[in-house]
Amino acid sequence: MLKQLNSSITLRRPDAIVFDTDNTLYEYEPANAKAEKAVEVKAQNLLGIDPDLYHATYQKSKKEIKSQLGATASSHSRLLYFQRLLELLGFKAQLMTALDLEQTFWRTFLANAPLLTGVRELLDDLRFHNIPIAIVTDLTSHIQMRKLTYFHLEETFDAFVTSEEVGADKPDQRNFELVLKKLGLNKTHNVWMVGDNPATDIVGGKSINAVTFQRLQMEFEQGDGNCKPDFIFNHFKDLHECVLNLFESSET
Amino acid sequence: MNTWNQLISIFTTRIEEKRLMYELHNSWLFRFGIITRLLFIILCIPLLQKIWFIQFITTSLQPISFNPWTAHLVSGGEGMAFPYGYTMYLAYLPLTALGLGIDQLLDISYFSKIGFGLTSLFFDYGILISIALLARKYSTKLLLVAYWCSPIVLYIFYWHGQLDALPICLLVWGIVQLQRERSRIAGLLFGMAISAKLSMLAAIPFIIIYLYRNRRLRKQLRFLLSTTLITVSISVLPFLKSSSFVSMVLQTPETERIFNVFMPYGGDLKLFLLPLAYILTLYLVWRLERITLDLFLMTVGLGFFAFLLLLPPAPGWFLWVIPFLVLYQLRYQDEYLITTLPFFSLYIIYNLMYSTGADIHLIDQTTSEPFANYIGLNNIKLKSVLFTGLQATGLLICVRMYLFGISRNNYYRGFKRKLGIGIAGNIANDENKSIVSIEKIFGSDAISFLNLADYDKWDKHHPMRSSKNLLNPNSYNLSRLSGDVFTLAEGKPIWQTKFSEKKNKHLRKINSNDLILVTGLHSLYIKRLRDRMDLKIFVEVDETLKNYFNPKLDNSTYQLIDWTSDKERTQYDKFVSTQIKFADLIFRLSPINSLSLKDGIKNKRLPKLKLEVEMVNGFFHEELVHSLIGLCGMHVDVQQSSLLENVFLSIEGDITSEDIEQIANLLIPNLEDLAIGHPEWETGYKGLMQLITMVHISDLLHRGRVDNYA
Ligand SMILES: [Mg+2]
Repeated sequence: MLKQLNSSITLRRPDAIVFDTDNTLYEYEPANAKAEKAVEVKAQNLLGIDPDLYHATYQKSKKEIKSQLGATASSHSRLLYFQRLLELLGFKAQLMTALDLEQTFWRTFLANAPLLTGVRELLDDLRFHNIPIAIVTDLTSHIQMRKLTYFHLEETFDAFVTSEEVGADKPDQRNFELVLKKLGLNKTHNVWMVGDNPATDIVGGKSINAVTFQRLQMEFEQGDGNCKPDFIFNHFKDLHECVLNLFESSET
Repeated sequence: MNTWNQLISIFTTRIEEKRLMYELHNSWLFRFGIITRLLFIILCIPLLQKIWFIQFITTSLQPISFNPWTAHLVSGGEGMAFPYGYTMYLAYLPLTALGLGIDQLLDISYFSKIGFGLTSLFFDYGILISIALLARKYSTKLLLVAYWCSPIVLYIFYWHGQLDALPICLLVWGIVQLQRERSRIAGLLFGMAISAKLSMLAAIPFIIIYLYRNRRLRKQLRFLLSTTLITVSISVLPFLKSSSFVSMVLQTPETERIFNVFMPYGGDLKLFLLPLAYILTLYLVWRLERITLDLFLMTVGLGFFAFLLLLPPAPGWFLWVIPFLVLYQLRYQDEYLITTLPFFSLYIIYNLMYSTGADIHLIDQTTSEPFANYIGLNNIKLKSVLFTGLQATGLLICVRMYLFGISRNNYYRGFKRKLGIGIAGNIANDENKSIVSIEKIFGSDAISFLNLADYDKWDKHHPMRSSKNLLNPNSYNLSRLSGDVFTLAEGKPIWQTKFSEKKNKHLRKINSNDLILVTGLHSLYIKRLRDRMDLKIFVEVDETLKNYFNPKLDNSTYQLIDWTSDKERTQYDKFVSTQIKFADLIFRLSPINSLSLKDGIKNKRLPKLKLEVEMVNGFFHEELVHSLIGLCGMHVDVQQSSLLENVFLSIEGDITSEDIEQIANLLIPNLEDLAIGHPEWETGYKGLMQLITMVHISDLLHRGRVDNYA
């Protein structure tokens, strides 16, 4: 069910819809857990590290990289985490191993990250009705492009913005302004923002006066206060239905 | 936790298998299953175990006796108490004896039963792991729901109290070993399974047929059967003189049950249905064109099902089909519940009503008698109706399993004859190895290798032989080569004359296998031979790499054809390059950066290479390119010919064998039906060539033709 939280909004045919990627178009956590496990198994195979030590060191390296880089795209870089992990474990610059672990991570990740049901149908219909669609996502461009290619969505979107391009993660307003610019739109247009994270996607969407939609799932609570989305939904087919209704009413 | 990890490492070698094992063990469903089992063991005592099995083992220990059956009968025990062989006795002995020791210290009788129950739990867990290893790729949740949390399994082992966990665990574990081509260990396990419970013999004919019909596995048959025979002999023969063993294990009413179900044929004549159905099932399996592992597993399940359907109901025997049913479910996820739920529910209802159960410790009242006795529902008509329902739903599952198995088995049936593959190009291949490494997927035994070098008109030491002649097709006896190919294609072996180092002639036999692989400079040169090749591959390695493709360097077993003069160059263009136009699939290897070559020679390291692939359009390249870019982060440049007939891929980047394996699983449907137990995927450009060749071959085997644009 698509549920309206902000009663002051009447939905009209959108001028564009902007999507987050991770955990919005597919479930992030199951894939991430499987990928981290595969890396752990591989690291144990390659380097013979004790599992407890591995876990502790991995958490530490993640923390270090994150605090070193702040809210930027590369602060999510698995390659940097694994490189630091190897350094912390005293392996010096084992570049091949770091690359190998990164590739193991993403290979397992993608193999276990099916696109959510209803996403492709929704996107196809939006394209069919000439609604521009765009991506605004954190993380580095290369891996996000790989993901979309893997999903066979590489030619689907009209604009694509990553936080690497902007220099700062969402909710930094520049991400959202850049996507508007790429779409040739401005804040006065009727833009929708669809995401999973209230603190980044919803807040950012609001910064460009977008109508905000939160996909409810396990990881984040429904947003509140200035993070409160205008609409919430569980399944893409609900959003799809709503869009189809708008198309019908605008045609008649 | 660390020992746990080490334990898991023994079972599995691959990262993905290991990861699935961790996932399995860390699931709450796994913990739920363990806790439920432990509660049953702590709180309940199945009647069968109390009056028969535990009694039997404790009697044999007081005093300790080498022949427990005699000891049992001498002490006045029941003849039905332990219809199992020595393996079963030995397996249950240690923990039960330990429990008995504790019991005697405390003067109670509780821990012998706990020891006995824990032994069952151990083999029960063994079945779970074996199923996981057999399935290789599976949903851990589905496996845990279908087996580990299955009410039927819990009922049979911990309420009704049957001992089928051990023989089934040994049987399934044996099949795992068989799949890994460890035939002696498999034989040992099968022998132990039979000696634990004689009825496991029923599985052996299926195993023999499976091995015999798969040429690749046929030679394992001998090792397997001999170890099985030896194991059975050692554990059975010494007891054949003991009349108590013979009467309790071999001549049981259980054995008599085979003849219980029959059709009267007038007068005293009877038609026994079980042997009839069993032989029919065997024949159906024998008649299959080819038997994949999946179908084999399903047929063993079906063979066991024949027993279930045509024997008077015996609750424990239902466990025999469970592992095979679970494997069927893991492969074929839809509709499973709809088909199996009625069967499972009827099974539980029927057996709770009419079979013995367990007593619960905290309750004074006995709960172990069939429930029908308590509620006074011993209506024979109701019992028959339930029984009919049970048999009917069982039959339904059989039909579904058979149909699914057959359709799945038929996936690679498009090709009825021997598959011919010709590889030409500027590399001289080694014997029994090809530049596209398909032997590492199919296994060398599935391929008949023919190498052009063996058809040299002049032997190595002949003065007529020089490097110039290598490039000239007239230096080779091509008509004998094509003759040999056609002989092999007809299924007959050929004999090749070989010269050893000391110029001694000797004959070598080459068997006719499913794939005939012809490699060498001119393998696509003459039309007759070329036309017989179902897949024609041309491999061209950039001549600047000639110093790297040299057997003297460790990283290559391939030698590049080397030419120095212009005349040789002309000969190459005239005789070898011309074959490109006949090829279905062309690989070209060149260095990404020719400047790196000089430095590379010093380090004897292959420089970074670029693989160019040319193949027919509209087949699978889009999926391949998506996987290469998405999954592996490779750099791929795609171009299409002007008429869109051909597609050219240029691939750069590092790719591991694990990447290749994952893409192979995406691109090649039912790959496990083609490959040996543990196919070896290569790394880098070799892996890519291997993968792309394999996709072509699998398509040929599925559809039975290749889109040739030559
Ligand atoms: Mg997100």
